[in-house]
Amino acid sequence: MDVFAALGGGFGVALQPGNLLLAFIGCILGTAIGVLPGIGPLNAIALLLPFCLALRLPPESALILLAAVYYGSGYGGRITAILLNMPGEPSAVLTTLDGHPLAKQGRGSAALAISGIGSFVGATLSVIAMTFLSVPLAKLAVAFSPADYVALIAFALSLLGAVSDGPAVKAWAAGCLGLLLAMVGVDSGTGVERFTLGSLELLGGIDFTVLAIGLFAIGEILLLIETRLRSEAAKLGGGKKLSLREVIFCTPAMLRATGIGFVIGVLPGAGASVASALSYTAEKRLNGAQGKFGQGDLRGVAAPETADNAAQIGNLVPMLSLGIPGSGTTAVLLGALLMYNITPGPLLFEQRPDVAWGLIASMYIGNAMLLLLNLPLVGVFARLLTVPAWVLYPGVLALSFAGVYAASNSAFDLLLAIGFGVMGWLFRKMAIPLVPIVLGFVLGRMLEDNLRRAMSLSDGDAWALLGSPICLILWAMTAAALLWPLLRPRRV
Amino acid sequence: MIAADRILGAALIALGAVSAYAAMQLEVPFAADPLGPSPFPTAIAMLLALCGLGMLLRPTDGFSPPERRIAPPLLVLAMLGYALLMLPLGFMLATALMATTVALLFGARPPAALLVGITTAITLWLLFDKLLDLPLPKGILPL
Amino acid sequence: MQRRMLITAAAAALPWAAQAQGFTPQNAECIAPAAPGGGFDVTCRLTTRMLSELNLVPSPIRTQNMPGGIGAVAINHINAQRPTDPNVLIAFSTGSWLNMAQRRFGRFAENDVRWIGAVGADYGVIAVKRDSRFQTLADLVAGMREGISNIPVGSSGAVGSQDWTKVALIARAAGQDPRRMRYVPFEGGGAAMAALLGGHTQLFPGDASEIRGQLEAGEIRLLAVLAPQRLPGFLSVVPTAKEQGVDVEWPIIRGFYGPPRMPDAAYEYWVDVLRRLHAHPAWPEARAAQGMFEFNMVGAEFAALAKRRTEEYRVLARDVGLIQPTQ
Repeated sequence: MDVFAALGGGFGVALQPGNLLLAFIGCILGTAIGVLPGIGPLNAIALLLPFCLALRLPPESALILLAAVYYGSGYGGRITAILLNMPGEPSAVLTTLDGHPLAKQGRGSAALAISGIGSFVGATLSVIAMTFLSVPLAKLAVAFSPADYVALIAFALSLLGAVSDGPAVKAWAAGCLGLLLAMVGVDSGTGVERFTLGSLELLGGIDFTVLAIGLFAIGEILLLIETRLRSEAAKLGGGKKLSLREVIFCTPAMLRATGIGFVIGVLPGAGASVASALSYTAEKRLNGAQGKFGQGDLRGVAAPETADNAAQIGNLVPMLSLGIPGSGTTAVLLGALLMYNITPGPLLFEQRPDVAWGLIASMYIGNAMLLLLNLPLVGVFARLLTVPAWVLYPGVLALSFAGVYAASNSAFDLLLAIGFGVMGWLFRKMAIPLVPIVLGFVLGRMLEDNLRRAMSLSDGDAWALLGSPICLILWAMTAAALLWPLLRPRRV
Repeated sequence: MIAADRILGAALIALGAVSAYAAMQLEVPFAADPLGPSPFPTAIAMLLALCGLGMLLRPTDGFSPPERRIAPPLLVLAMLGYALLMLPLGFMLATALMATTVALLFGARPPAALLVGITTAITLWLLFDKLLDLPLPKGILPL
Repeated sequence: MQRRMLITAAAAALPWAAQAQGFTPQNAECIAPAAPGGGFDVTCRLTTRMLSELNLVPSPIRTQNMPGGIGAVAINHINAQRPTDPNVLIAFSTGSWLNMAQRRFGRFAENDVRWIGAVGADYGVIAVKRDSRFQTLADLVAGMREGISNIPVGSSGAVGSQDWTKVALIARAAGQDPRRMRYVPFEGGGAAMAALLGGHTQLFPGDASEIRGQLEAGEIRLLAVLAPQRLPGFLSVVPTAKEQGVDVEWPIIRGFYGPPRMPDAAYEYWVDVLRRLHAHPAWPEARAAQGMFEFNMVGAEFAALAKRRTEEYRVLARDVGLIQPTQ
């Protein structure tokens, strides 16, 4: 049993007191970074890396610390999403849909608890999958062609109709707006500028953080200030605690979300946002008639949170086993290894088993720490709601702005965020859903880029879009998803 | 207030039309890929205009008029002032000003609001500039 | 000129002699024209950390991120807000020269900054999958002549970017029109490498520092390094393009420039700091950690190189129609 011996060696590394401490510090830092809107794990890792080098930390220790910040951030992003309706991380956007209604019903603690459990389940099952299946999974990562990505995104889009319950035309309008916003900037194919209005600041496109902070944080505060906080604010307490029955009730959703999240995460061209969107919409499609999605269904919190963490772990598979970073953050982690003169790639597990297996072992430990850290703190986090609005919201607003400004050093991004804030406020008042904007923004660029890549590779032959077994399976799933509402027994 | 849907519908039609036109006007130095940069945004912009048309023709329930008419515009002004004063005044002063205003708008009494503003500014300065090592503008304060 | 050289020589001999000219940095900053984690960010953070660790500067230099248009926002900020600031360094790479040549920085270009110097260079490589039909660069050139549009190139960066230019230069050396290349840009080098390994694309014009893992595992083969001579270490077995009769080089030079009217005393100070960094025995290891090879050029010699290269790229951009001939 090769794997077990290797994993045992990894635990030998990860259980050294210094490394345990670093994993613990990383988990706390990661959770904190996840809570702060505007500062993601990418910034935190980029800032920590020079410290690791300066402190002469050995590579496995540095990686244990940096990776803990990375997967710890998946636990933090949900806190503000649930309690304040303001996602701290892009992938927590979907969590607002059911998490915040739960908080309004006084079940904020239950929502926080189930999301913590979901994150743990998703991450731990994914680490297990990674331990045993790295090699075949890495093959899947490179087998996915641009045409396959097109089919995958089409599948995701086919489920988007399920996200909101309002008039379809408004959801579509919001989705299109998101797609158009994603087109702003220099076109990645030809290098021409699109929709930049001659602005240098827009050349690089609109930053996701700016859009999310504007639409959610600023828009929410405008809405709160207008209604004198009466209708919208979440309540502390009053609701039931999370029961074991409810956890069991959510378990099938968490298992499905782990599968979806992990596989999506392994693909270098997708990411945690896609994974959480796909798993939420899939749950809603599967259980729509029996659930109360959108009004506070626990599964609507468990699914995206589980998928988010599963995808984060999945993202490490191509990085460790192929040396291919699947996202910006894993690219920085990979850069960290290179700085230690360690070459991530197919030989990493042979050349530096201490690093590779030490990291994997530390992820078992780290996620257990995060669960133990997060569950008792649920009550403490929920106390956030007892802070008076006139202290809480000026602080949240200033924090969001500081995050935007520190990342770009431009007042332009602040103005952009304010503009999106006004848009988010008006749209909420007009019952136009915001989540499709965000999903359109994330998926739109991927769809266009991959479509153009596929067409370029096939020299303009559109049949290439159906050219592989993966494509055909995904298109069949797309068709099934679109027809599902017609086929399933009606219970309304 | 069904009018709100109509107004937004018209605005989306205009935005879609302008975007589609702008996308069609794009010129590439040479055709690097079969599709090029125009068709996708053009199609999306047209779809957006179509959605706008839908909202214009069949407006649904609408817009709840603001309960406090003054507060949201004031908040927007405070935020705009913050963005514009960030460089000249520096992060601390701009943040203190903005946070104080927001606290007042959320119903704090003036001394409490001022306290919130100053505490927020100092805390965030320490968090970003000192702890996270992300430099923020100093402005006119001798820091 | 004579006087400057004397001062520099003296400064090199005595630590802190540069202060005698009346310049000591105060609250110096390094602007990384990108988000944290990117190449510019690494140049700033790791280089400035070395400068303080080796006591080459009296106080730490802080890094400020200023993303936007791959450097367009930063160069405009410098020209508009602080054209004479003696305490600011801005990170650049060869990509910045391409952007200047293609007029992507607004009205600012190579003459609107003061070129301080390089910290090192990475080099372009041409990679293929292990079972590729191309064994050598000559095979690739022959393949391009047979049908350049039958060879899908997958890389990161748009048409006109560094990766595109690497292959475009080889195409031109093969007597082919780079505009007919089948160029497929991906989101980052990782996704482009995945496409190569998956057999979706045939050519990957990457950087020497990013392909080691796949190369050592035998997943990919390098047809050439785009360096003036063979690179040290594990790359020493890979021939240069020049050896194979294709006169193409692609150094990814990284370094710093200063504001357009940075005072001479400050400029000389920073040039000297870089020169002493290059000479320091601890530098080679730190440079290797950044994925860079030796490239020690500073001051006037370096400014001349920056201007010459930018002009070469401008000619190329004009030839293939990336910019209008009238511009």
